[in-house]
Amino acid sequence: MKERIAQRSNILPGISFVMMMVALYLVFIYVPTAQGMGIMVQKVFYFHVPLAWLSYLAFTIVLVCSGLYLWRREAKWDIIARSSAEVGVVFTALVLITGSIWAKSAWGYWWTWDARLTSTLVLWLIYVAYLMVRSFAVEEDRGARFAAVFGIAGFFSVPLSALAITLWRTQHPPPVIFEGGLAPEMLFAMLFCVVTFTALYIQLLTQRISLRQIETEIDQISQNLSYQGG
Amino acid sequence: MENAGYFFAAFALIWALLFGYVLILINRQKQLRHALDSLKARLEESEKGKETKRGARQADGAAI
Repeated sequence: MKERIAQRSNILPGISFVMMMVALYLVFIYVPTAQGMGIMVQKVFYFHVPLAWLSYLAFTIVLVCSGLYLWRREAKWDIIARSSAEVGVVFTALVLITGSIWAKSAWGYWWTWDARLTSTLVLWLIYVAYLMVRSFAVEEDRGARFAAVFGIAGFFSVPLSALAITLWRTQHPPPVIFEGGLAPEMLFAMLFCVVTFTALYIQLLTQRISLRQIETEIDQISQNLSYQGG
Repeated sequence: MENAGYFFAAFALIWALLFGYVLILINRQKQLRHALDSLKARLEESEKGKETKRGARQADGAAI
């Protein structure tokens, strides 16, 4: 597993970087600018939406790996869940920030306690709490178990945030991507950005997992040394 | 270029945050690798020390 991760961590940054450059070209030069969403700032949408989707994916992986950890009690599932939660929290923070900047430009204010915005903020806070629970646990095994339960229970906020725009009346723009609301060039750029951010997510997740593996190795060697009285 | 300021602010923040996060991960990885190397060296030393002690004890036993 370690070798595979090391190989991927050599290739993935390059792939992510090239894809990011292509995505920037598509967003800035290739796609036409849509009218009515704040002429220029609407281009933020090509990053805001993929980041939101990827954060939902990251938290879904937390759910799956937390379940697998409780079932199998293998440390690798806890490591993947924790790493995915961290990347998800970073992505959700970016979603909140870019959304807020777009709102200031389009609506005239930075924030409103609208269902979509509030549920996304709650989602972010839940996973920040998950990371705190996981970090501050004194006993490694107990912390992992508690975090796994938290990771499963906290997942309710993902569909709540994702479906907020269909369940309640919100100010947030309605979903247009799968309802034919985008020109073909825009749809292509959007899907390319989704693939690009997926590559970035995999790269960050891989890097975070390898960090956690080094931490585990350090803990084991420290324990060996303390047993030996070194 | 309507709202260009907000547009550039949003992009700058996206890249700054992502770049910052990647830098944090890289720095942490460097620190941990350094810590791991020094711990491995200590572990090796301690194992060598143990072997030397064991050898000395065996030599003492043979002398007695």
